[in-house]
Amino acid sequence: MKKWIKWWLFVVIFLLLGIAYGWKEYNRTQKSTFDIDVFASTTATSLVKEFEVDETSANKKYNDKVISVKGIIQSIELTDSTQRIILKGETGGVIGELEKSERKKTAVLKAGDSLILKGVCTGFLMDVILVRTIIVNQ
Amino acid sequence: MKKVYLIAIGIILVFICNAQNRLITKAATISFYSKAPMENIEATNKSGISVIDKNTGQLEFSVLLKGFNFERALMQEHFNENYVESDQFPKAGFKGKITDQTKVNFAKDAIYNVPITGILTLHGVSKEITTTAATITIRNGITEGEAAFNINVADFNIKIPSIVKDKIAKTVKITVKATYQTL
Repeated sequence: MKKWIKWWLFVVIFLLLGIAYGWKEYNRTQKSTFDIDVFASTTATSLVKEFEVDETSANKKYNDKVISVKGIIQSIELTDSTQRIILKGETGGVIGELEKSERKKTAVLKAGDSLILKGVCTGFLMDVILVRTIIVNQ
Repeated sequence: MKKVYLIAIGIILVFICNAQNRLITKAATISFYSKAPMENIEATNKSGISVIDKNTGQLEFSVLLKGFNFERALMQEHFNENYVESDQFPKAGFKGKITDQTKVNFAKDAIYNVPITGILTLHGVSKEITTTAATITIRNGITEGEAAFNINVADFNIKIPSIVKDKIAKTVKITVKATYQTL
């Protein structure tokens, strides 16, 4: 094979690989919380306290990280087709916005039950908010 | 001693009356949409906080920027890291007023058009915005609010990289929907 053909073949393959990678990256969806290791495990009470004491530090520590939070269910809410579980804190609580796959698990849960949630921390308003949350134990 | 009790009871009554005049939700849906030649950008956050004072018409909402959910992970990363810089500015909020809250009878089922004006804070920049596309709906005694407004991203010092400048919309439509409960 002539040298210039080899060279062009290399360039075409390189470009095709680049396009394939770009396309895959562009269409990438969020990784499931099931497949991400837990960054930290804590309780609802101590997590809320950390945010109340120093929100900036707690944001740096927990935001965008997958954490597992143990607590007592304060309420289970269905709002705008989203299922949320709220764990009690002393003042605020921890709101877990559940993954769609977790909805059926809430049927057997009730206020007062102990529960561990695993989700991605997004910060603190009146409560700490976890998104893409899954139920670890029941 | 009686005086102390009376003052304490008075304070508690004032607190209770004030609380009853306030409506709150911790599950406001805040979404934004921008249509552009390159790609439409759309995201939703379902854990916004919003409070309305029925007496004064004061209205507030607050939302965590990291809580916006995009269909594509890459778009969500660009939104947080390059556009709104959510590590530095984790929240967006609005503090405003229903221009004429006397038009709203919170005890009567109806749909009320309520122009709203106030200050939107995003990306560390506060700017006055006004919308006439807002309604308060009273349905079976439950208060629902909905508002939509457009913002120019440049007004909030959000920079669009020059490589995609002509392909991404410079205006974003923000919609807020909330079902309130008495505080």
